[in-house]
Amino acid sequence: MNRRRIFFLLYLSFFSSSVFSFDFTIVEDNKIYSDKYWYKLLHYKNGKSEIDSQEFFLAKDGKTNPKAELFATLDAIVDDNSTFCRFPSRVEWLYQKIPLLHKIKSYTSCPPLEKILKSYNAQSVVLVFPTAHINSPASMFGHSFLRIDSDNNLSLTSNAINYAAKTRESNGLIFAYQGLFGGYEGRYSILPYYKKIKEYNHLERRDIWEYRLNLTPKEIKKLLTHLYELKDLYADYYFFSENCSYNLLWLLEVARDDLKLVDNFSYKAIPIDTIRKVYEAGLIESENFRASKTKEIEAIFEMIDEQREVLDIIDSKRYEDLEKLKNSDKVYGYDLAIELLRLKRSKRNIDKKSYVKDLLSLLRGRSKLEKKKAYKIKKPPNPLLGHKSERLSIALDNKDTFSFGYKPAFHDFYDVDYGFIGGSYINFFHLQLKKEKKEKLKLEKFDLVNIRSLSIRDQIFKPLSWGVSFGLDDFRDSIHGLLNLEVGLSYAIESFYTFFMLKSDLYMRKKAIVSIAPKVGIVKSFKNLKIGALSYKDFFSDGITKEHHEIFTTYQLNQNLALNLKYDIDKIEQKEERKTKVSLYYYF
Amino acid sequence: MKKIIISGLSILALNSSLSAAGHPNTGCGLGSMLIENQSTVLAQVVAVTINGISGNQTFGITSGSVGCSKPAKLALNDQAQKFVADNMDALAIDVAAGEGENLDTFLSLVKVEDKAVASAKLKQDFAKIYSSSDVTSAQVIDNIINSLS
Repeated sequence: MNRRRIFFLLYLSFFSSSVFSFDFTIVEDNKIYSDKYWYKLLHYKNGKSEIDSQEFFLAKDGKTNPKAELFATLDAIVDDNSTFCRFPSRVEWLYQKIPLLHKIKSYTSCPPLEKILKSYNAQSVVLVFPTAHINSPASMFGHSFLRIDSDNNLSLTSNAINYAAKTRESNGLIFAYQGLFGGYEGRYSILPYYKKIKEYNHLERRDIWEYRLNLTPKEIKKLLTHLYELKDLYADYYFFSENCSYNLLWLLEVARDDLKLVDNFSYKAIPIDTIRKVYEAGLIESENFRASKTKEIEAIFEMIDEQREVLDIIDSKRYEDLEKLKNSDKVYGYDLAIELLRLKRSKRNIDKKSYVKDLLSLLRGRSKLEKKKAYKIKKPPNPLLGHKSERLSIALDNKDTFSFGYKPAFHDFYDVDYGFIGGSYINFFHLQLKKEKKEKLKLEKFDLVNIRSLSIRDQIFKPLSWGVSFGLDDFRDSIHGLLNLEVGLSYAIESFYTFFMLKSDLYMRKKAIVSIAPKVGIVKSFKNLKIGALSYKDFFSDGITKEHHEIFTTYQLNQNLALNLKYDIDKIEQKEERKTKVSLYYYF
Repeated sequence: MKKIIISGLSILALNSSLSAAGHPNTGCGLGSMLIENQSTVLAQVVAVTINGISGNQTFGITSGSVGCSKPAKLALNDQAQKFVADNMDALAIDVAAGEGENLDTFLSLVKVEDKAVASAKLKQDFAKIYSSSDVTSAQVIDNIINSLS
C-alpha cells in the first residue's frame, strides 16, 4: 500500500462518514490503474506517456507511473473542483469504474465543454486523407485529419481536428533536424473544414479522400471530451513516428474502448498505413473523393471543343473575346478562365488588384450565361487498395546471382501504381544485397532516399520532372557514395508516361567521379500490371562511357505480392553484358 | 506527415520557404486567398510539404470574423458571417455559376429553404451583389438578403 493511497483513504474517512464502511480497495483489487483504457487516456505506451506537457500529469512521476497518476487524479477530484474541467475524460471514466466516488464527491459536468459539445452536435466522424502534392513526391505520404459532422450535411463548415507541429522555422537544415528528432511541439487544433480544403484541394492541388467512420454519437462525445482534455497540451512531434496521422489514432482508441491501433506503429507511421489499420479495425463505412483543383481544371478543359482558341484568349487576357465563342465553349471557357485566374493568383503571378478586377469582370460575364454545366472527373482507385508500404524482395538472374532487397517505404518505378499517384516515386532506406556465384554476399546499393517525380506536361500545366537520390552504390567493384540528380520533361503519349531527362551522378570514394547522361524512358501502369523501359548513356569524367538499357514488367498478384521481370543491357566501352532477372516482391 | 529528408541534402537548398504559418488568409473582401510560398524544387525536397505544420491554433467556438464589419441585415448568425468572410471568392464564383458547394452551404446557414430558386435569383442579381471590387463580406450579405427579400 503506497503512501498516497493511505492518505487518500484517510482523507475519505475523515470527511465522509458514508465512506467509512466502504471497502475502497476496489482500485487495488481490480488494478484499475493498469486498465487498458486508463493507459489510453494517458497515451501510455512502452512504459511512458507520449504526452510531453508537464501539466498533463498530476503526479510528479505521472509520465512513467500510471498508478501514481490514477491516485493523484482521485486526490484531485476530491480536492479540486477544477479537475472536472481539466480532465473530463479521466473523471468520467473513474466515476464509472469506481461507483463509490459518487458518494464521496458528487459528479459535476464541465460547462464550457458542454457548450462545445452542444454546438458541435456531432453525428459522425470522417477520416480525411489529402493525398500527394502533384510534382512533390516528397509529400506523397500525404496527411490525415478528422472531421466532425453534425446533422446538417454541411461538411464545409464542419470542424476539422488536425494534429500538427508548430513552427515558423524557414531554415531547411534546422527544420529537418528538429522534425526528425522531436524538436517541435505537436498539438491538436480545430478549424473549419473549408480552410483545410483551401489548403490542400486548392492551393496544393491535392486530391482528398474522405472516409466516413462508423463511430456512434456516444463514441464521438468521448473523442471530443478527450480532445478537450488535450487542448492546451503538446507532445513532441516526430515526422516519421509520432506524427499527424499517428496521433489521430489515440483519439479513435479513446472513442472506442476495444480498438487497438497505436500499437501497430513504432518507428514509422505513414498516413495511408494508419488509415489501413483503421479500415482493418472495421471503422470505415464509406468513402468519398474530392478532386483537386488540377483535376477540376483538366475536366473543364476536356469539355471545350476549340481548346487552342480558348487558351489563347485566356493567355492573352482578351476576356471579352470569350463572348464570341459558340455557346457551350463560352460557358466552359469562362469557367476555365476563372479557375486559371485563381491559380495564377495563388502562385503570385498576378497582383491582388488586377486579380480582383479580372475576377469580377469574368464573373459578371459568367453570371449572364446558363447555370453551371456538368463535367466529369474520373475517380481514381481508392488508395486503400494499393500495395502496402514496406517491401521485401528476392531475385535471381540468369547468371545465378541472388539478390535481396528491403525498403520500409514506399513506392518506386517498378511497383504497380494502382492506388498511388502515377509518376510519383519515393523510397527510403532501400537496401539491396547480392550474392554472385562463388562470391560472398555484398552490398549492391543502398538508397537513403530516392525520389522521382514524373509530372506530365500538357496544354495547361507545364511542370518539370525531376529526381534525386543519395546513398551507397557498388561502382566499379567497390562501394562508393552516390549522389544522383536529374531533371527533365514528361509527356503523356497515349497515356504512357514518356520522359526525357538529363541525369548526373557523383560517385565518391578516394576521388570523385562525375557522370552526365541523357536519359529517356516510358512507363505505364494498369490495374495490376506495369510495363516500362529506359535507356541512358553515362559520360564519366575519366573518359569512360557506359550505356544502360532496360525493359521490365511487374505483375501484381494481390495486395501483398508482385512478380517483376527485367531485362538489362549494360555496355561499358566495348564490353557488353546482358541480364535477365526475375524478382518476387512481398509487401507488408 | 511532414517529411524531410536528411540534413545533408538540405545544404543544397539554402532558402527553403516552407512555413505555412504566414499565409495571408485574412480579410473581408475579394481576393483574400491562400497564396503559395515560393519554393524551389530542391527546397521541396528538403522542406517538402506544409503538412503537419500550421500556424494558428484554435479550439472551441469561433464567432464572427476578426476585423470584419457586421452586416446590417443578418442578426446573430456568426457562422454565416464568418463563412462569407472566409470564402468571398469561392462564393462569388458559385453565385455567378448559379450553383456550387459554397453557395449551398451559405444558403443553408441562413436557412433558405428553396435553394434552387434562391440560387437562380442571386445569379441574376450578381452585378448588384458584387457591386465593386472593394465590396466587403458584410455588404455582400446585405446585398444577398436584399436580393432574396
